Amino acid sequence: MMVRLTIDGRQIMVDGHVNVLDAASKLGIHIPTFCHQARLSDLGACRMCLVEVEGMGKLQTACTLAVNDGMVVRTDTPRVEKARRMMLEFLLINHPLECTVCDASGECTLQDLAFKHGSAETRFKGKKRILRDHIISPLIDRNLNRCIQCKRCVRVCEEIQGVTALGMSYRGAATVVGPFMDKSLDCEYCSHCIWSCPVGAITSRAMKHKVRTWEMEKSEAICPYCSCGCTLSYNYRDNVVYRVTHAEGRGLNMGSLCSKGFFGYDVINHPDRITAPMVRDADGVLRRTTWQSALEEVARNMKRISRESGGKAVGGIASDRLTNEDLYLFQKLMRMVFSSNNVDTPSGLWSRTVVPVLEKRMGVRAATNSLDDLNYTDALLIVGCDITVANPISGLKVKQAIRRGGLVTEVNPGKTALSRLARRSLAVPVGKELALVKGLIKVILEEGLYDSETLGKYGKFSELEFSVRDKSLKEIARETDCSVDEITQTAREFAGAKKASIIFGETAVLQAGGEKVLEAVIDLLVLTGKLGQEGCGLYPILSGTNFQGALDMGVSPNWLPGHAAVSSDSERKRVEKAWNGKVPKDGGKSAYEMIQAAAAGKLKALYLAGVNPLATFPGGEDLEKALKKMEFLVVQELFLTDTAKLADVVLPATSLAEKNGTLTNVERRVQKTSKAIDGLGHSLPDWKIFSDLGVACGEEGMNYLNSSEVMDEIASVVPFYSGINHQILADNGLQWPFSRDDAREVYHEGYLGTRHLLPEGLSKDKQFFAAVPVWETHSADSKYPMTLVLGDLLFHSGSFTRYSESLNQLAAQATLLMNPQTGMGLDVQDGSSVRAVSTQGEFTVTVSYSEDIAPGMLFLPRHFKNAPVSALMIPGPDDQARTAIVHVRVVKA
Amino acid sequence: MSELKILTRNVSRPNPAHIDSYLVNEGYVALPRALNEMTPEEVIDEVKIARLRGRGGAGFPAGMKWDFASRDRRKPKYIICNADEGEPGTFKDRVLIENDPHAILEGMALAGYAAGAEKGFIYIRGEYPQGARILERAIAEATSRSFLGDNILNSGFNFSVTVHRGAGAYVCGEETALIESLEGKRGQSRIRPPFPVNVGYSNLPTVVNNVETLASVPPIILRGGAWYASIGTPECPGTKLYSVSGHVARPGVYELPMGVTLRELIFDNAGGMREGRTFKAAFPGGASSACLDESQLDVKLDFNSLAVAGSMLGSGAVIVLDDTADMVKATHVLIKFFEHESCGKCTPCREGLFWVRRILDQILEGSASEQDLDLLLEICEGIRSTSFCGLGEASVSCVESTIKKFRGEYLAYLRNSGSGEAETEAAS
Ligand SMILES: Cc1cc2nc3c(=O)[nH]c(=O)nc-3n(C[C@H](O)[C@H](O)[C@H](O)COP(=O)(O)O)c2cc1C
Ligand code: SF4
Ligand code: SF4
Ligand code: SF4
Ligand code: SF4
Ligand code: FES
Repeated sequence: MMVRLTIDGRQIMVDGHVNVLDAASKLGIHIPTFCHQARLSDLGACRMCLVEVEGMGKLQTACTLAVNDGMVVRTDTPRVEKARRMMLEFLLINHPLECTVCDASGECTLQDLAFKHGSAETRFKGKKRILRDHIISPLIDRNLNRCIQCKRCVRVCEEIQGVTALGMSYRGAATVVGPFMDKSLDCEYCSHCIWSCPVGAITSRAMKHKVRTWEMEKSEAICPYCSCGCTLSYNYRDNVVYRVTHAEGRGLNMGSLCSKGFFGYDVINHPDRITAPMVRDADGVLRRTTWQSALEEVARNMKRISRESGGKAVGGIASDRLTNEDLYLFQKLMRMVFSSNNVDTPSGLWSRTVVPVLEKRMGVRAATNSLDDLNYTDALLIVGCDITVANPISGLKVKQAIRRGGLVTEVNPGKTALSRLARRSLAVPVGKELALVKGLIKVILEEGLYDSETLGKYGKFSELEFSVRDKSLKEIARETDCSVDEITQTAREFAGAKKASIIFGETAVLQAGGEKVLEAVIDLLVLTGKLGQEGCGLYPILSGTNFQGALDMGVSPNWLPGHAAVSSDSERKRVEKAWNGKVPKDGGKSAYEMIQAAAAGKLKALYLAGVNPLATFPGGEDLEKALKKMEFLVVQELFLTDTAKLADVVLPATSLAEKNGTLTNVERRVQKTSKAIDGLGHSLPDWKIFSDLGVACGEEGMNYLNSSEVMDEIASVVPFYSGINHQILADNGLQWPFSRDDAREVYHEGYLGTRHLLPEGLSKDKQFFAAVPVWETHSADSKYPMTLVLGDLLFHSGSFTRYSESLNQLAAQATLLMNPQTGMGLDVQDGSSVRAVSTQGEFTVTVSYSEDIAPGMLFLPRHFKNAPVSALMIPGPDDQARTAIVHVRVVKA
Repeated sequence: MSELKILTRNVSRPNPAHIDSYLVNEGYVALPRALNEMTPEEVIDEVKIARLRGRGGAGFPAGMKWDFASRDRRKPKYIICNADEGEPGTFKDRVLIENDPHAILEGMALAGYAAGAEKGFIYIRGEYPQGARILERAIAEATSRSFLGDNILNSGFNFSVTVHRGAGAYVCGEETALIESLEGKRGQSRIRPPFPVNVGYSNLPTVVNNVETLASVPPIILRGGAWYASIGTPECPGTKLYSVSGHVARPGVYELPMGVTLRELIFDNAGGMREGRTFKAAFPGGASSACLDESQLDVKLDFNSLAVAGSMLGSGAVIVLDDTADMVKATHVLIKFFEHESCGKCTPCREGLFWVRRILDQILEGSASEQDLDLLLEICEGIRSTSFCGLGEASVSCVESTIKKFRGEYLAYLRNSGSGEAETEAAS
């Protein structure tokens, strides 16, 4: 309903649900506020926004006052101005006014409003109240005496982040904000409180007293740390990034960030950055040199080996952290210049496991829906994924859904940050996720909860029914460590919800037999008809920043750009035509196969761009041996990693903050990221290095002026990117598929591209069930009876963030998480050392008891040097290498 | 005017809190009558006819409150008995809690029946452990005799009561802060509207009534609203429990028809002033009310008359001061209370009261000037007109009224600035 009201003599029609503050701002009338924030619940505490309303005796707070038809409001009377002045005077009597040393100075609401509405002198005499303060965290600085008690930090922590790490204690003028019992802060370090604080009471210690806010310039970019693709703002001066700030209302994250996005920027200007190319000299020492000589060295050797031993003897692995432009040129270089289809990325294994199933079952190759849908989901099933870690901002959207009453069920080998909030959190042993999903299918079939349209199309579900017949719900419940009731309720909620989706992740899929879980999950979606509409769909979630882009760009041994099969003559021809060059015919090797070939002496040259296999690839010592055996190893990196130390040539690349380009996030959103500072030293953007190298090899087709030109070529080669260019991506990017014809269409609510795949449902040839006959993906080996989940911590991203001093303050060492029950059974104490042994290798690590991991399961973060997971992970061809789950034996060290 | 014992009818009986004592004097007669012979609407109507006004301070018509809650379709609904009794000078609810708990329970059950609630809470201040025990025992007694619990007296009506003890914050007497506290949260007032009758405990319809309000209900149902309305004044019918404290000969709780004058209360009932002393001032509605001086002794102690006189009835806590009282010091004591009890949520109350107390400190120390008096009034006006809840709004009445009526005493301190304390006599 629209209502008409008058503010300061001007009339306006507004929606009846808005408050006077919003209505005024529509008229361009600015009412000063402290405690109000649109994204938070109303509080009405600071009393700064008082206005006069005809017929109401007392002044009213505009932020809490709903508009009414015929309401007459004044914001400009002497009474209002006096009240504002009084509120400021009240706030200032006890305020330290140390703007000279305060990090908020320059962007402090109190400072600004005092300047605008306050008085230059104070009438307060005597001593100010001084509250005792102490350091509550290494990264978040609290200053109680600057606090104006607006509770924005408390509310954002509870209402947006769902953590409730902050609260108010004591009362009156002694009120203090802080963690429980004023101990140290134990939280997700999402930085929302820093963002929300209107003054300098909660600030980042990482930039404390380093720089003044007004000295920095700001530049928006995409966060480098996960596949959410959040928009952030780099703040820099003199080519140094001093901090990241939240880009209010911008991006799919609307400004929100996680700990990595907010604190992880210190990697950029890290003193250990490589700033010049290095070539190993005759004495075997890496020496700094010029770009020209380094590139000549690479060109000469790569070309020579390719010529002498064939394209199959060279290979390249690039990080999925690189931009689309980087990745596209990387595979073009490898294929066209070095005649090799041996190109891969660390996330290739995921893509090769997941995409064929998605393609076969649904005809899609990525998440079907938008992340935004998660905000409004009525029921959500999360299988084998800690969404709050893999994609923290997608996790926030799930938390919003929960606040709205959405029913979320997690199926994970332990608890996550969502568990406390979600409807239920089922701790299902690894290997039994399949049984759980089949249990849901069983309930839905038995209770007739399936979608009637699906039934209409399929006639009957006999195959599916048969596949779930041989176990009772009781048996399923016993095997999955759940109760019959939990399974039944989950199934009913999911089937009964209007908007229901499924998220699945690495833990479920990157285990032996994991694709069966995916098959069952798709059966469940199809059976309940939760496909092809807003709020209904499937989200395969991997955290790798640009894993989707790497796949789209053809960084794959058997897919060309645009997911075209290398084996297809026509597709190859099409690409060759666009490149005016040759693409080898035979499919290439995966990363694992390249390492195998290297060990066997068949692969002689390897080009690594942004990857550090020694930290993250399976194989341990075998891997190291294979790398050392390379005739020629190129490492393009930001840091002299363990792998780089083995290289013949090291090429200095820039970070994402130092280059332009695009990234494709987990929901198919192609986004433009922009350069904030110039490349450090002589470092160059990866695409530029590939381009220069191509030219050094005499290939003019590799010559590009800028990354925008590269995107134009991508748009001409990848059909579903066909209308994309850097200009069109300026705001919020767009979701592929997108074609040139769509480019003419206007923005739809600020969105461009395809928000939901499968609007017509599944095509005829996809209308079948996998009806997975077995009940478990695999079973543990009796010699290695424990299931070890290798995963990420919220505070790190791969091995890259090892270089962030800030993030290392939050976590710098791996410990082996073990349920106390498991520990007792193994006679292993909390804090003691154990040897973790897999068929591949072993290392010693400290045990940490945690109730968050289910009994019988173990968890180990894969970021840190003290627990080199490479040693445990078992290398193997795609159908065997399952890098998220390793079976181990744990023995006292 | 002499005492009229309706609420305190059972107080002087032996073992008054026991259910049998209650039963012999028409206890639990109103409840079965309502359940058997009246519809919920009729119960509400009777309370409306009685024109019963809330005794917690605001004087809101109880019948209307119940009506609002009964009209809200959402369920479950709740009845909360506000037994926080935190207003300095108030101790009348305690008399009922300790001596006639069943009257409160019966009143709650009737409210529940009328509003459509099946659950009641008694939020009792933490400083009343004895009262909490008595209430709990009374609940057990009433439940065992089917005056509470499921299917009360076979009527099909369910109503149970839980006692919740507060943790010692004055603001938790304010109904929305009380609800927050009851929900386990920090005791701070909520934004109103929406009001508790629609969005209360667990965001569901909730009636919050004072102990005395609820205890007044059984007699109303028993004898009829018209009977009740004939007592007291037309706008404020019924009797009122006045807590009289301070410099009177016989402090205590007196039940008198509404509209008794201050003079009658003090001199006819509370034994007059202490031996050899004369009346100087009274705060008729507790620490939150503006004081009355000698010229106002004939003001009637009811909601409307006191409002006209520039003060308020509040909880009916009459704090009387005689000629020995130092009004500046008295005000200082009251402000210290409010400063201590400010919940800290809103700027004016949190910071303003700190400032007001500081200035009063300075006045007493002799380091203030006359300008500070104007500043003080300006700050008070700021606090009163912009605070979030009733605590802040009413907290400065004592300062404003004493400056207005006893400015001389303040000036005496200011004149003697720098030379230590002023003599009270010099002021009067
Ligand atoms: C600061 C403050 C303290 C209050 N304390 C009490 C109290 O202790 N007891 C009480 O019954 N009402 C108290 N109230 C009034 C309640 O908010 C509410 O109006 C009352 O409980 C409603 O009951 P009634 O309608 O029966 O009076 C207080 C109000 C304020 C603003
Ligand atoms: S919080 Fe604001 S007003 Fe206070 S010291 Fe910092 S910049 Fe100045
Ligand atoms: S950083 Fe995030 S989780 Fe931690 S206290 Fe602030 S808002 Fe809460
Ligand atoms: S720390 Fe900042 S956000 Fe939190 S209450 Fe204080 S002023 Fe507000
Ligand atoms: S007036 Fe403000 S600070 Fe004072 S008690 Fe009420 S809400 Fe709290
Ligand atoms: S902004 Fe409205 S009360 Fe704080």
